[in-house]
Amino acid sequence: MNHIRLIEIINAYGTHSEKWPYDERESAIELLKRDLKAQALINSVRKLDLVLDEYQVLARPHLSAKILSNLPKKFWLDQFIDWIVPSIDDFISYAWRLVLAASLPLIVGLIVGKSLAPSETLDSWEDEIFLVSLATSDTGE
Amino acid sequence: MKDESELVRNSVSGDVAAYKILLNKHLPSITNYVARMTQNNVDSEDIVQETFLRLWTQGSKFQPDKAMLSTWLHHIAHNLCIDYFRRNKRSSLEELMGEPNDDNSPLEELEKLDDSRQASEAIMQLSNRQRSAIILCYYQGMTNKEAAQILEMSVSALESLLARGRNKLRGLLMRNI
Repeated sequence: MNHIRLIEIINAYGTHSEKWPYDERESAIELLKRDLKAQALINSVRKLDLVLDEYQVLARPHLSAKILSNLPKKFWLDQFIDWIVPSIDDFISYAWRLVLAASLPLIVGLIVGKSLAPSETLDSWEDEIFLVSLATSDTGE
Repeated sequence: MKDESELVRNSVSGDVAAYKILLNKHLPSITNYVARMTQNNVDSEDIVQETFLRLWTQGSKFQPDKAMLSTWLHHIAHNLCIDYFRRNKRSSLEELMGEPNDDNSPLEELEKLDDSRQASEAIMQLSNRQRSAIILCYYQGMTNKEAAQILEMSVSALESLLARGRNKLRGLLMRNI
């Protein structure tokens, strides 16, 4: 901590030491005790901080209930989209989810194909020969 | 007591109770920030509502390893405020002061107001970034790193912005303080 840095801190953060950067606060307070120019600056800036301290805003007690009452209902599709499109920064999970999403139609297709496949399949080689013979007799060979 | 990232995850899954805990914790701070940024009661409520709606609908984008929830929400609120200022080109100060009065200059009008009003109107004359920097560091109790993260700038750039903003405020309020 030196004089120049202390002046920078006062000019940027004001006179309330609790608003100064945490990691420099202690050394800045120590230096301020023996830095007369910085003390003079503090005295000249203090009035600004006193005016700023007066600036209060009104509480909005009704706002919480208003926000809760306007919440849209969550549908499974919304949650799925939230899951499928995470933050782009997280590349690995993003890529993985895209791969999984892309493979979903394949998985669904396999399930549908399996469930819709003809239930009466050829049971034995005798049935197969019988059907082949029917086919050849139809064509006259 | 669940940590915030878990509450956000639950909230994303549609857990209203988890969302309510987060809302009650962060609503006062975000309301104060937006109210000081816009100084327009109706619009500031809309911006606060939209901020918390994003927590509900886009909470999955929150990354607890990169920022605290408070920082993330302030970042959203800040961006919504900037969008609001872009949409409403007319400055809020003009709206606050109404039509200019031929008899009194704006400065004379300012002199009549109390300290709180003077401070709020002087703050509205700062650039959006200066105003946001001062509100975040002075009123919201943000550390310089958190404020710099919200404004997407370095800490040294933030400090320069703060010093310029405070210097301008001193100039604006000098006659009265």
